[in-house]
Amino acid sequence: MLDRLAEHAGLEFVGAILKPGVWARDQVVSSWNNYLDLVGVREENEALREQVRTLSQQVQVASEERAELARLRALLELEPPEGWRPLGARVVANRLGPQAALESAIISRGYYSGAGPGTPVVTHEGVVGRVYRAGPYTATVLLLTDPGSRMAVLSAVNRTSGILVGTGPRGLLEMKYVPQNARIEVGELVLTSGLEGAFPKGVPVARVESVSQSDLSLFQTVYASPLADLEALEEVLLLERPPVQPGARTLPLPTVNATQGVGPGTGRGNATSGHGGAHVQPVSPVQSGQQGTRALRPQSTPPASQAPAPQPSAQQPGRLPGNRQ
Amino acid sequence: MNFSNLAWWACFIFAGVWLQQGLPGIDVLVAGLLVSLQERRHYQTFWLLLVLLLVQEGAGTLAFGSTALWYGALVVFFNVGRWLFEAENLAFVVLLSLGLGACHFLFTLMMASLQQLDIPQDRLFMESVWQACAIPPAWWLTHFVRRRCMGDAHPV
Repeated sequence: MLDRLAEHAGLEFVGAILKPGVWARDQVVSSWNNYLDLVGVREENEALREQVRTLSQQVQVASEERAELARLRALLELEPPEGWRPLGARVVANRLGPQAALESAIISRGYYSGAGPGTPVVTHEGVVGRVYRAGPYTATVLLLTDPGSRMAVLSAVNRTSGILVGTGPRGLLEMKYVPQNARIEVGELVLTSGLEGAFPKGVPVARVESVSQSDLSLFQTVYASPLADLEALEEVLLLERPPVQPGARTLPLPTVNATQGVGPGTGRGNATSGHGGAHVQPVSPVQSGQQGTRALRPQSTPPASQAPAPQPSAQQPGRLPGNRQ
Repeated sequence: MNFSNLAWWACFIFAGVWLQQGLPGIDVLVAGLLVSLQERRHYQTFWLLLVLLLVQEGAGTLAFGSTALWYGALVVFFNVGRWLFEAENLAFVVLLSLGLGACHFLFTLMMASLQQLDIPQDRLFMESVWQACAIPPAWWLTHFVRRRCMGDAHPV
């Protein structure tokens, strides 16, 4: 109850103090930038016109490819993944106060405006983390560099899966549980795997920096650097989960208590154990078969109303894990 | 608590939160609580404590408790230390800040351990040192500004 009180009163209070100042600062910076932009605007205009021409050509090509993709999907009787709705948010502060022991940032959206606990947070560069605690209109994001952050990932080229774990401030990310015989290369991109439904599949997260093998371990030691510049976050995108379709068969899945948020892990336990401070309770029904993942699903699947009820398991897709991504 | 006093504390909290934005892991608002304790205004201290508690706990990432413990330690240290020192003595404030810096490290570590969280201890240690270093100047500044703004009506 005290946590809830602190989130509703304290966090909102901090947000209310910081947001007007950030807005005022932005106005001043924007006015100054507008003035500066007048200088050399003609050259920039020419460059932009050229860019528009190039992009128009690319859009045409992309449209063709998109049409081809739709045809191939129809051919394979697959339906496209449900879309995640992006929502912009401003970072109003990074670690703030003596209690900010975790790698975190405060953003200008809360659970009334699309930033419920567990919501993925990204930038145009890559994944930032996910919402940890949320007040009505302000929320705290747990960055992926926090030692408690866990994220199911796979490499872009070799499709090697693992769990991406933070190693602390300004540190690299460690990709754990990569078998010794699995192929993964330095420089390869690491993407979200979409497992557990915490993130849509295929969002870039990091780039592999080093790969080494040990005789003492069953797994390779893989380090990667985050693509997003977590030290200089200003604006982020929240990926809101696909809405539950009316009339769809629902399965009561455990989800995260809005007052407790998504707890970071210990860094000591099993990466899939899901313990570590999160308070989960079965409150939010999530659409069966959809469950927030972007995995493709055959259209020939029996209607949801006829399908057998899935058995809950520790690895259910769509579950908001207590402390694992 | 009259309106001017209320406005002063509101401005103090506003400025403190903005200052904390640039000093991650540091509590500068505690200086106001110390000044309020020195003024021996229990009603004012109670409400200030409550507001600061909500602000710090709400903005933090640990479960509720460590700031409450920390502010509790401040109140205990202050009342115990007042038997030995003058409350407005700079040496007393320095000793108090050292104790609070140590408590900041211990309480945060304890609460993180209870929640099974991994936090970088070297950074926490450095922040505790900075916290101890920040309290005396923050207290002096708060004391000075409050005295200038509010006059002798609020002697320390």
